[in-house]
Amino acid sequence: MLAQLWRHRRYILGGALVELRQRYAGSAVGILWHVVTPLTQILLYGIVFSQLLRERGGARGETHYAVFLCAGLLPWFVFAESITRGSGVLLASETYLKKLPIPEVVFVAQSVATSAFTLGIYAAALFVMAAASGISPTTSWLLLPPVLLLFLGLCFGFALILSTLAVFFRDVVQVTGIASQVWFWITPIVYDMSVLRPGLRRVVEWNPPSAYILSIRDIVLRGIAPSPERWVWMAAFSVGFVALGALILGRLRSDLRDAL
Amino acid sequence: MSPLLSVEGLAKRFKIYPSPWARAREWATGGRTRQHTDFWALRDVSFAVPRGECFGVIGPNGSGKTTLLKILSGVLEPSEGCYRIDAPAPSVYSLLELGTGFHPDLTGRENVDQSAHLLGRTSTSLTPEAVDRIEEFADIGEFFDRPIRFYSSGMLVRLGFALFAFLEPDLLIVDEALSVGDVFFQQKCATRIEAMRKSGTTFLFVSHDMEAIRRLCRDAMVLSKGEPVFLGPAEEAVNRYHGLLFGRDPHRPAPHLQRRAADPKQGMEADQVGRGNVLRPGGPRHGSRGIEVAGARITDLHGRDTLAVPVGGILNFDLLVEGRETVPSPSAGILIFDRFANLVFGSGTGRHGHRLPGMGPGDSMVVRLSLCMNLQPGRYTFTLGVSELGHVHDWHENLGPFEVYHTGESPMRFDGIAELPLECRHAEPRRAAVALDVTLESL
Repeated sequence: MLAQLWRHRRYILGGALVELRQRYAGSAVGILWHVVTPLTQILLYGIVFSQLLRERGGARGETHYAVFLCAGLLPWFVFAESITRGSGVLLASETYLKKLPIPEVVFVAQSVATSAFTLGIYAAALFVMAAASGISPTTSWLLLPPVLLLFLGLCFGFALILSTLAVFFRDVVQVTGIASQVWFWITPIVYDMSVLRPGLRRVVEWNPPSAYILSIRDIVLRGIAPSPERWVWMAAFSVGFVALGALILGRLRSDLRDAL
Repeated sequence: MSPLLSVEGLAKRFKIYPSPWARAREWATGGRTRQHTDFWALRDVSFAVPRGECFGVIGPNGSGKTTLLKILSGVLEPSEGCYRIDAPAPSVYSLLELGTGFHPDLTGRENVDQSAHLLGRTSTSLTPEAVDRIEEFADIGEFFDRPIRFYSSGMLVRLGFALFAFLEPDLLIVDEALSVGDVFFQQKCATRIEAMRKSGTTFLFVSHDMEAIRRLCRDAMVLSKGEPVFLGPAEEAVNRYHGLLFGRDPHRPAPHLQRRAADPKQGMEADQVGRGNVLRPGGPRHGSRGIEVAGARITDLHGRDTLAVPVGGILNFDLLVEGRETVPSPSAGILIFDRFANLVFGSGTGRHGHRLPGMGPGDSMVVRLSLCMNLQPGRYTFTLGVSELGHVHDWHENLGPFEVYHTGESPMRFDGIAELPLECRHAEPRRAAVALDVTLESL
């Protein structure tokens, strides 16, 4: 699989760029929409949680609530996009798959590569936000790239699993869309872990995206490195889901293009 | 020398599930409860193509041609059998893919580049010279640098073929796509194909254009319902294909050639004509049925069933006429239409002054109408029937088509719909006197 990805690397990157360009082609401010849309959401959540609700989702001690929100919401947007768009990517590439001998995984990679660009832009936005809020960068920020890379691995794994299944069961795309909304609330994005009851906290901790979001918060807000235990979890989730995806695709591959 | 492409016992089975739930049930039980039905799109296909040869694959719609191509180009996996391409790093491109890799928002130039990546040719990226040659070959002017969403379909084909032509693959699979361009581009393609063949590219042609198959390929395979029914010289394959279109049993061996047309009435037996290759049950038919055309058959000069004839060749239309009532002066006739439904020719025994004997109930007779097909190459449909002094007894309409083809060995003798009998004469020229003097003096 890695060899296939390497062989088609330029196509993957080129296609991802085209996709981005196309998504905003013809709109006046172009790529800016990429930032404006999530910022609006952040603003909304910020207002709702810091002004209207007094508890601040349990992030009481948080002096930089906006940055706290960003650190959770921005990666989440990328994850949600990866699974919702990603789950339909093989179906959407039907014309290619039915005519070209390109490995399926290339299209999934392309979709995640698009998300990676977004993630890069968001990371930059997060830095700006942090700087504007008066958080001074620390050396622990250097740990952010590896965390984000592992996070992309998770996105890729999920997209691989869902998109393969979606070829055989098209409802997967719709179900993923709905599931991602529920998923949002069992991930510590707008609230802090401390607000949860112990039973519920366990559930949230076992939720794969949580580990990455908590790590990003540790790094950006508190300037500390994620605990070794959390590194292990992140690595395990990333590798595990990619491996699971590869396994599922490997099993179903021979029937996949017949079913399209 | 070992063949470039060898295919052995290739078969493709599609699993047809009545619903996604059925698939889920089958998976859930680990395949123990079988929910799908098998559909064999391809079975038992074996052939070999030497390097630098053109091989044709023909067959009616749904005969498995596309499935075969998809397997060979690596899109689908075969269910049984295998194929081998004898090259160090085999590159197989298919014109099936023509334009699928193209992105509408990119310019022609960018698409050429992108497609090269798409095909996984990252290591040997296209050199600027190669891109120049592609641009020159496509010959679409400034459109090469415009987004291809503005292209006409012809331009797309040009760009697509130009791209493949200069990627120089080991095996190039060409389907109908090529018949899209205008005649000049087609000629250009033909020249390029020849050049590529000489430099070692092997071709697989899939087409309904029998003329192209006959001209370009040495050998061809006829597929019917997923199974090869003929493998051999292209000329013969085309004939089989025409027979196949008509529902004739493709497994029936062709009659032997030795009995040349010594006997002009050879083959005119009622049982042979009755089993003939022309009439379609349930086809459009009208008339009072006092006498009927019970069977009809088309043969060539050698008595072989055929639906294809070279320009100027002879086709025998044999009609088996059976009487239901007493018809004292029957007449049999034929109408031939071109693809625009123009009546090209129509005549019959009556108008030709050939009197047929009267028919009574239970009588039968074979009538042969021999026509010299001095027509433009193309496909023609025809109507066969029997009538009596302007009263229609039994007309079978919309038969055929048969194909008139140009062998290309010599230029066509005429332009237009049909060749009229033409005699050319000339009188001895009278030489101009002056010229003669000069000649004499110089002597």
